[in-house]
Amino acid sequence: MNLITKQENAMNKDRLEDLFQELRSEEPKLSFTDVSRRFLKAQQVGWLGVFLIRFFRKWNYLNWIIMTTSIITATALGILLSGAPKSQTGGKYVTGTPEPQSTFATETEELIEIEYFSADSQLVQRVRKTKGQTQIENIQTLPPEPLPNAKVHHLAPRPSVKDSTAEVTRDRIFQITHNMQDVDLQEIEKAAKAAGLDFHYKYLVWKGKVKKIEYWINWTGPDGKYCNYHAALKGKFSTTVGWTEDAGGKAIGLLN
Amino acid sequence: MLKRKHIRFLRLYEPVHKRFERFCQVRCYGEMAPEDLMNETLLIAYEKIDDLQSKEAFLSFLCGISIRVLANNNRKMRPESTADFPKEVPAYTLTDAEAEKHFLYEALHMLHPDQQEAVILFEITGFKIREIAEIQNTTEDAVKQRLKRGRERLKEILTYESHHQTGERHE
Repeated sequence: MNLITKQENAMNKDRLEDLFQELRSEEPKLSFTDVSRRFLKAQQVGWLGVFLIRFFRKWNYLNWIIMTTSIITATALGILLSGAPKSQTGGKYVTGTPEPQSTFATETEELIEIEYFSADSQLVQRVRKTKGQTQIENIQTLPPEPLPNAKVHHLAPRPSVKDSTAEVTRDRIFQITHNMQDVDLQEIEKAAKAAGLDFHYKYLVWKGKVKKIEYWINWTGPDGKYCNYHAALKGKFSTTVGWTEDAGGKAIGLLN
Repeated sequence: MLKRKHIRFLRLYEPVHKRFERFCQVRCYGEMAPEDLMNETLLIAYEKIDDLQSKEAFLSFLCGISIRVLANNNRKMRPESTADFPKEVPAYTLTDAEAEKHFLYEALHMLHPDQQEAVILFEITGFKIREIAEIQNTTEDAVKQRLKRGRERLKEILTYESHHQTGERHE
């Protein structure tokens, strides 16, 4: 602890006064001419100039490294984000092995992104459609095999008969578009349920039309393999979901 | 070509330059370059000159602006720690008088900002207590209290410093 005696105190008071007096009588280090010249120059270059001058005066290697790193990180993030899908549109198999020839395609008229999946997971084709431009990216190279007998009908399941091995099968294909209503979706759900498929969905309706939809199809095939399909679409879209039924009306394969 | 407004502004500034320069030199010691503080203050003052009520208040107007500029500057940049006082100063680079001034500046920066400002404005810039109260937006009693405590603290610091310098111990 500091113990300051009266004598010391008086001495320090004098010393302090002297120091203040010296400071008061000191000649300015910056002359009026310098200051006014600087002020007028700053008036000419404006605030941006003043800021830049100050900024670069305080510049050092650490600032340089921090700023460069920040710019690079921000640019990289920007590039990554601009390349990433705005929404997941398309399908994704989660577990199990999908049926052969089970392909899925979504088409958007103007919007963002489409993913094209082959059922055997050998082809993932990502199509990005913007207005007037289509960009196709093949993530895996094997092309999808064409559907042998799939025909698209708007909510009108049309039976097609296969006579390959005297076993009668039919394809049921439904179209899902942004113009459909909840009733149509319920119809698909009902048909899927009848075929032994678990089809469920959630959607966003605006002005009576489906603007955003997300749906799942869960199915366990005859061989016991489990297939889980999920797709999310928004904007203007048109896609199909379908399956092949046997004579008893039970699904034997997915067409998505 | 100089505008009339510039000329009028600089004419107004010239008589107070010395005091204002002294204030900036001491107030922003170790925090900001005084010339930057002065320049920035003058630019702001030039733009807000219409707010100035009387020519006599021009210096306090400038000081008020510079205090805010400095506060903003310190808010943006991390304030340097003053806890490591006394800072190492190579003895051979300073004369005795310069060293004393240096330690006074350092001691001033160890004060509470309000006390520091009050002491600088009163002792170095030569403002009256009433004017300081206006600048600091407080009462005259508060300014007096700040000056009293500021001086006491300065004495303490400088006493310690003088003993520290001479190697004496006081326990």
